[in-house]
Amino acid sequence: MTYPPPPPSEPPPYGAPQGGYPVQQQPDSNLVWGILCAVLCCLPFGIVSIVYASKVSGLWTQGRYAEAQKASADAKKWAIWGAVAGVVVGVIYAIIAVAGGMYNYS
Amino acid sequence: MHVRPLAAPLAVAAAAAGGCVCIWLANPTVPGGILPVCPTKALFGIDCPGCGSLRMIYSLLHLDAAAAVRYNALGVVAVLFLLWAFAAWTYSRLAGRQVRSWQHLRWSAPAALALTLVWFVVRNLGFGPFPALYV
Repeated sequence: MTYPPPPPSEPPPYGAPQGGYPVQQQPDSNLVWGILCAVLCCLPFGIVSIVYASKVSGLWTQGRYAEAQKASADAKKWAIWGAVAGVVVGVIYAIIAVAGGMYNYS
Repeated sequence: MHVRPLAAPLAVAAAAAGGCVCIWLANPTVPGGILPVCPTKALFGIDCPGCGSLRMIYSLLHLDAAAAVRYNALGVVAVLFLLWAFAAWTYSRLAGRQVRSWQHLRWSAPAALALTLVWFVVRNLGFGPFPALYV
């Protein structure tokens, strides 16, 4: 049974894994959410999310930490918007389909 | 509040299973079904990178890998990687520590972006072997 090393003196940023990693952890690119959005919602928002996700690592390597954090947050934001847009489109489609069905059979 | 580590993965798995049941019952391979056509295709008549994904998932559920690749080859790859990410995420929650997965690699996001854009272009090209990719 091994225990993780003691926590660093400085608290890691939100979402960073605990122990075994440097204090300054590269922010999550939220790439999975962007891909999920692009695959499931079939909307450009997922691609925008992947664009931001692809910036995170490069910005972080260049030491532009704040911009990397912002790109990570933007990737998450666009993935969420894409999911919302996907749901909205689905609901509109369902309404049109139901209304069209009633129109056809009335 | 302590949340059981498997609650979230089980919720995701349940949602995915529910979606698969819907796709199985609705059978998107038959045109005019209840499942919506991709808005990009409906509005502009072109294939987006995700077009054919419902039929791809339907084919995968029926263990017809060839048809799945035919409907959306990149989508099949995406499904495999998403399953990988799901497994790593579930294991991370069980083990109580972050397990590195493909999406944490440095070039994953640019590669995903490039693949998506290339896929978007080639499946809409009208010459050579490319029309075979249009669904």
